[in-house]
Amino acid sequence: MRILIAEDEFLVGVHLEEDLRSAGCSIVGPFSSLETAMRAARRERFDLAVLDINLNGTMVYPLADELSARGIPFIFLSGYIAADLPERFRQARQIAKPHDPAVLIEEIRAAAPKADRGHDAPLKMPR
Amino acid sequence: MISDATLAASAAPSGYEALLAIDPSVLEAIPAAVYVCAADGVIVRFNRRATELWGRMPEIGDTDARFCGSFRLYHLDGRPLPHARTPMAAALRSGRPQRDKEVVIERPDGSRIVASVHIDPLRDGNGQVQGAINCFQDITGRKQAEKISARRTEEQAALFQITDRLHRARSLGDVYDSALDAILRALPCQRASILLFDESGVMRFVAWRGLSDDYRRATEGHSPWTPEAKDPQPICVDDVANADIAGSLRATIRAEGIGALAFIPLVTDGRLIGKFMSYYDACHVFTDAEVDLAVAIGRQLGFGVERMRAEEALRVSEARESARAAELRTIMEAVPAAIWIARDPECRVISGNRTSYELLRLSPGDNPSLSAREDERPENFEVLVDGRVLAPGELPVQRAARGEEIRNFEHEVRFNDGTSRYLFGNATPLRDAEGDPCGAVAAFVDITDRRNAEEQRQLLLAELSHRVKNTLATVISIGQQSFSRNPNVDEARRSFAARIRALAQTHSRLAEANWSGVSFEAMLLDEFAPYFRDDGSNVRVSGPPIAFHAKCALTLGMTIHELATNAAKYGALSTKSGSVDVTWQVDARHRQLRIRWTESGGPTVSPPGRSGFGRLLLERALASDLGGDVRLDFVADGLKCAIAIPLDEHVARVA
Repeated sequence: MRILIAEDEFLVGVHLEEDLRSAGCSIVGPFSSLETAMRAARRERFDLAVLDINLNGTMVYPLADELSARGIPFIFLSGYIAADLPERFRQARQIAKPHDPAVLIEEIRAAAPKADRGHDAPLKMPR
Repeated sequence: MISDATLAASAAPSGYEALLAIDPSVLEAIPAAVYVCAADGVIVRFNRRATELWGRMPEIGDTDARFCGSFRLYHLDGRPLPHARTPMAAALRSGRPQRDKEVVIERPDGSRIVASVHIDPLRDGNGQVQGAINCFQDITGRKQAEKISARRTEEQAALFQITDRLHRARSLGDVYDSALDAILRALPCQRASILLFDESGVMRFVAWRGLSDDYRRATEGHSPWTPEAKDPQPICVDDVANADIAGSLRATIRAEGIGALAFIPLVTDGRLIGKFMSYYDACHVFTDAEVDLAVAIGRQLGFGVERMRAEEALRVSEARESARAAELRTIMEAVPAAIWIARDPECRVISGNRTSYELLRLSPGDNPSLSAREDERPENFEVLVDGRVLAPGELPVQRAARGEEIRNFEHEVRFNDGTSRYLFGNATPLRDAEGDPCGAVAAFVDITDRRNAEEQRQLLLAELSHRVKNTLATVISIGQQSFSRNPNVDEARRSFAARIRALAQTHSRLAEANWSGVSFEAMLLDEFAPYFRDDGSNVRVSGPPIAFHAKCALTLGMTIHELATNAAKYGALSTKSGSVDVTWQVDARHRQLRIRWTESGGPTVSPPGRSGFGRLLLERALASDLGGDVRLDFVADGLKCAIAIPLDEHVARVA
């Protein structure tokens, strides 16, 4: 499974990257600004995106809207509480920071079941 | 021999002679009192009626009582009238007739009559006055009638005058003066006073004529009636000396020289409000007519007092109203809230205090009502609740004017220029005498600043939450890095702790500067601090003052920590002779900050194996977070690191 990561905190991005690689995913990114993330999203092929809500002061919502329109699943990774989100995203998948790797993998599986059963190796649960 | 002339002369007797010779029955037949005097005033003829009027029969030819048969005579005003000055004497002296003269005749028994005399002198053939004839009549009755009539006229005039003056009275003083004047003019008293009940029901003097202070002090409070008396009647004391009055009171009254007095009640609306008193120097007989007149005056006085009191009360009430209205106005203007008042149920016109006009950006004369006529309505704002524009009928003042109580109502006033103010407050109906709503009053406070502050606070709280989560995530990442790269748990734990402390130190520096930025030099010195040699010769830092913003500062801080730690473990700072030199400069043309980290005098180094975290930060973090370019040279002398960071304003500012 290919996963696009948008996260402006470098070490957190690296951490996600390492956790997802260990689970058998390949990574697009991490991208620390909405601009770079949007450009990559239009250029690259991927199955799911993990999105930090606040990218250096800019909200990631435009990218989330685009992915919704393209039918690509995404998961919010966030320091914000649900009530802070706009109406349309209050029901979206989200996990809290700092993330629990097991929970992250679960959410990914639930969000993109078809990809999980695709030709890529199935997701491996973290130890 | 008697001559013809003499005969002729004596053949036609003069009036005087004829009267002398006339038969008494002729004189008696005349329906008037008649008498004749000779030229010297001696009475020569008179009839019975004359003696009746005189009350005596004079002696014919009596030279002592001349000119008139009266015992005594007086002028009308009571002055004595000597006989020699009577109209008869005047007629005889002057030879001129005396018509309609009036004298007062006193009879021997002391009674008096008023007589009207009508005198003609009697002349002889040569025109010499021989005597005079007087026809006189008793006009006492007529005079009395005249007096009574005059009296009535005076009384009516007095009543008319008091009515007229009371009508024009401007004060209670005017009322009292008018009444006292009328009393003294219309009634035969010499002195008078007016008393009214005070608030405690005690009868007090309010006006008087001719009374001493002592008398008033002594008699104040005395009242023949209580305030509750129903239908009080006048009380006339015709003789103080013999009246049924307490001894001390009688003595006081007599000491004042009062012989008789009367109490006349003053009643308005069936209620006794006081009395007026008339005082007579002598004993006095009170006629019904006098008492009726006094009561009539009393009635006028009562009306006058009541009307003046009512006017006074009205003036006081109006003054109080006016003061209260002024107070209200002052409060309205002083209160730091917008106040609106609608005085009609449709709220076609609304007025407000100064704050309200300023808030709506209108002039004080404007009509701020959105329910006003189209040409009067304000057009520079709309009212919204939760983003929805309200129709005029939904506005709080309009709703209250229909009878609704509006409490804690929050709404937005949005102006044509896009700006808004937020208001919070209440509106309540104004009700008429029947309790129906006839308008409304509203009071609203401008909470825009409070709302903005609240919004800011919410933003900050969300921001805080976000930052804290990020920091914790960073700590876990650092933990991950520290423990996964080093199989030696103790070493891993120590380096983890050191990295967290470095992170904390950067946070401290940021907090000190209110999160505005951290000085690069300070970050360097913080990290080198544990490794300074006593003489400070193993560390050199120099460059222009640069302050990095929060995000970059944290990344850079961790990077510097790794570099310093590595230098201390494996590089120049691990030997006594080694040193680190950090210099930086600003390339204004390329808008870049160039940093040079040079280690020298240390052990020979080779490209690192285990310090992967440091390289991760240098090569990837600085590139991704700061957009920087990093080159590492591991030369024999020591590590050389060159970093070029674009100086965007969100990265750093040159102090």
